[in-house]
Amino acid sequence: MKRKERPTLLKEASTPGRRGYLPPVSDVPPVPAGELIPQSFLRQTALALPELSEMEVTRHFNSLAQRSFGVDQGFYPLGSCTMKYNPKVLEELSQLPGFQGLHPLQEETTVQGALALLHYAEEVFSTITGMDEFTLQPAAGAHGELTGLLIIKAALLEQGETDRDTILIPDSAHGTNPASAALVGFKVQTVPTSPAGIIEPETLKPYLNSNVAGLMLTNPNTLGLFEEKILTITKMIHDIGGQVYCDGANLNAILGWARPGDMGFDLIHLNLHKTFATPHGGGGPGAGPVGVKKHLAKYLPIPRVVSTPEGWHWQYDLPHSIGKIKGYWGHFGVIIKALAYILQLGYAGLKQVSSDAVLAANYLQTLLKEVYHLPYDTPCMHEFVLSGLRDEQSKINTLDLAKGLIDFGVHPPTIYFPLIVPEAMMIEPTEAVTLELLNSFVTIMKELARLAKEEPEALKTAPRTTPVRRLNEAQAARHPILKW
Amino acid sequence: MGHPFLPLTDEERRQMHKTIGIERIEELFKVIPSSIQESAFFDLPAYNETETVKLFTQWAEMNTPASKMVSFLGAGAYEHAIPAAVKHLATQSEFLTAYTPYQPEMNQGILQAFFEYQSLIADLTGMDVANASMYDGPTALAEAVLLAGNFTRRREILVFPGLNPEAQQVLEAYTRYTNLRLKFLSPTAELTAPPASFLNEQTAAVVIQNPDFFGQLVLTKELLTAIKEKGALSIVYVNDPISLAILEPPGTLGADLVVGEAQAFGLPLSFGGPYLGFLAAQKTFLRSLPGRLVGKTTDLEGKEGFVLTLQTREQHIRRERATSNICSNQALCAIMATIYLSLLGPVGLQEVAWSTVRNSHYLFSQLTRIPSVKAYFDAPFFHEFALDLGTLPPDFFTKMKERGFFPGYDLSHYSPPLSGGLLLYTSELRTKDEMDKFCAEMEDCLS
Repeated sequence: MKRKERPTLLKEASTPGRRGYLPPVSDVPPVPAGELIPQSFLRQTALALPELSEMEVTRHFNSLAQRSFGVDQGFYPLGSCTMKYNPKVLEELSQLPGFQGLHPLQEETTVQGALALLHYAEEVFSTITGMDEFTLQPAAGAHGELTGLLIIKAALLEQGETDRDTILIPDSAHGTNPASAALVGFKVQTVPTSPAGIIEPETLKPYLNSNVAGLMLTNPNTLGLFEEKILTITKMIHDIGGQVYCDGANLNAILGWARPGDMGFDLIHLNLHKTFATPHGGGGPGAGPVGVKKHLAKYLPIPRVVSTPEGWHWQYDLPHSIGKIKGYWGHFGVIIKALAYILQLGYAGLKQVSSDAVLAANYLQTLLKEVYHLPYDTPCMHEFVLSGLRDEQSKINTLDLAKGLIDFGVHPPTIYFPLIVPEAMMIEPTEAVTLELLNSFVTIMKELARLAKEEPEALKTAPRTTPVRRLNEAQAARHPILKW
Repeated sequence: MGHPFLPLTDEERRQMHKTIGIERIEELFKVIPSSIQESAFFDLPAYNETETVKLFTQWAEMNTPASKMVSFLGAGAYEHAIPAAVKHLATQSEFLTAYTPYQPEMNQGILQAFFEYQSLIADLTGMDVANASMYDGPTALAEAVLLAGNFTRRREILVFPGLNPEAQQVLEAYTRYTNLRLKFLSPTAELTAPPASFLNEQTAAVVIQNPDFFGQLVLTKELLTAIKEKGALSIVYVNDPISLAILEPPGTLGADLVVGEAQAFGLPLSFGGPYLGFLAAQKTFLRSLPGRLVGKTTDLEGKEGFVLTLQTREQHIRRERATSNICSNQALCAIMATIYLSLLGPVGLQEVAWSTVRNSHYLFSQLTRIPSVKAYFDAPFFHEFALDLGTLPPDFFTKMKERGFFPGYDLSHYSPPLSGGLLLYTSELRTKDEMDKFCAEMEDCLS
């Protein structure tokens, strides 16, 4: 990455009189503005927007792009985020005029193809996960969690179970799990992970009582380990009258190998931007469809898309529904891409995705544990978590190692998460790798370990090849400057 | 198997097995109980790229997109002209395939784009600060209402009439199990005149959409001042922020929080999503805001740069005590909006706003000449208005569609239903000729 000066902010680059676009202008007979809208409503304050030509705007955003790094630029083993390759055809399909030009409130007869696609996507997601019904409304994984928890709450209240106010969440869980539970008014009880890195029935037992509404579990969990006791765990929760929610963030490990529905989960959210290759877009838009078992289907958000002999329809008349959790029908453009990805793989391809993702992770784990501390030394699923260097005397911490990776052109893994592993580095290569790429990552990681021992200063002062060096985050938080 | 999404070859796989010390891939999956593995099969064939394109094209061609009709459908989602450069610049792979910029040194470009987006939204709304995006308008409103409840520790939320029904439903779902009570106000004269006697000491916030769902302008400084005097927060919902180009910004009028839907800033209709929620606030609320915030700082050499900041509000640190559960947001949509606003500039954006206003007022004047057509309301309006068409012919929408028109939003779907009601939006894309033909067909259809 070249160390060029930061592009001037749009505001600083503005020159009065420049135009970047000429919009269509109304050709109706002119009427004085004041006769259209009373003066009292009109803007008295000047409209502060930058004035730039199209060429300047293009160069500005191109230079911002050059100072950014995506999956298309290089290796991105960001654990828990499944940064796999995003096939190009997906973009083209979502941009077909027959999809992109649809207004969400068009008459049903004019959107039959869109409704058919959505209905089919729901079926495909149900099939892959072993659930009975799906909603495509949630905008992201955390939004799916919120939806699932609203469903659990609605079911409880309908059964008069007002005392069930607690959601159990392992200490290894994503932060969104407890935050979502709190949004719905649940108390959160944290369940500790066993020394083997999974939830043991014996550890779970003391937390079970009649106040438990349910358990949220990521499987495989954020340590990259499959919850081996899952059948016992889901039964224990069901036996006390609770629901089991699957955080589907790690579904990329088990496609075609295991279905959350068969494990006893009652609800699941998917992250289409993770498992099903829709681009992450610098932080969104994602999509977080939620699947449920039959007994919870009546609580799904309205409207549902239903198939009848006359065609597809929106069904609103569902009195038990939690209502709407997002405007319109969800991230249609994202759902198109996910479905197109799935259909190009089929069952065999999807299973191979998970086989390769798990194989790649184990390959890296095997080679990296020689120099890095591997706290849970057992075969992993699609990701694994290291805990800093094996050399305990080293002054080089995980942040230094991450910054060191940047100078080798690799996006660092997720760091300092999960919270239960000190100096955590969570590595998820995904299936979109070559052996050469994996070997070169191992070489780089070993080189970092060597540097840590022999030239620690080089890592303490990394990165050096980026447009800026380490940034002062404390200063940013103490004196927030959030606009120009 | 050889597949374009699966770069590893069988030979590479074999080598990797050897390194790990396994014979077969199944050994890595033996932690999964066998009963589960046995039921994991499902029947799903694979299509190649050509077949996939064909399949999706068939689905696309079963639809009649508004973009190919003379459409007057708005009601919350607004078609506008989109400069070609928006798509070209936003879908560059560095933006498209990156994730949240957790490593700021590697993603200064994306961080700067968010900083510019925050600045543009704050300037347009007349507010101190804006976050780096929300899922959409309705969820942004719901989060603002939760913020107001937590901030004021009061429980009642008053909602003005004329809120987009999508936003209203999402607000209901988000607040159902909280201690907040929503109270939907009916239209009365006292709503617009001080001293705002509809407020009491339990009122946490008042939600006002402007222009409202029916296109009417309802927001005044007097109203916001009266709300403030009662110690409640005002939340202004903006469904088409192009209106902010020519209307006095809510922040300048005294709003505490301004939220809304920014799909109109360069995002295609795309059947309702992905869109772009925005949330702007006075600085008092800075540490209570949901979502990502980008701040300017310096690096160890004193060089300016950008980072995600004030993260102690967020779920990955604060967990169940976070201000919100939001993680992924609408980053790419925010970049599209930033590009759109940079291209349009102040002159372009005001031209768009005035063109929509001129077109809508022309259409209004022509349609209300038809004897059976009456205006539902008489307040000043922006680019959308509601008409009472009396008794509609049963196949009205089909007939108009056959003649090439989407005539607007059927208000019999509104709650409570306004039967015979039609909500019409006119974008800058509509021409006088199209509107004249539409009026002639309407007159024919309704007579």
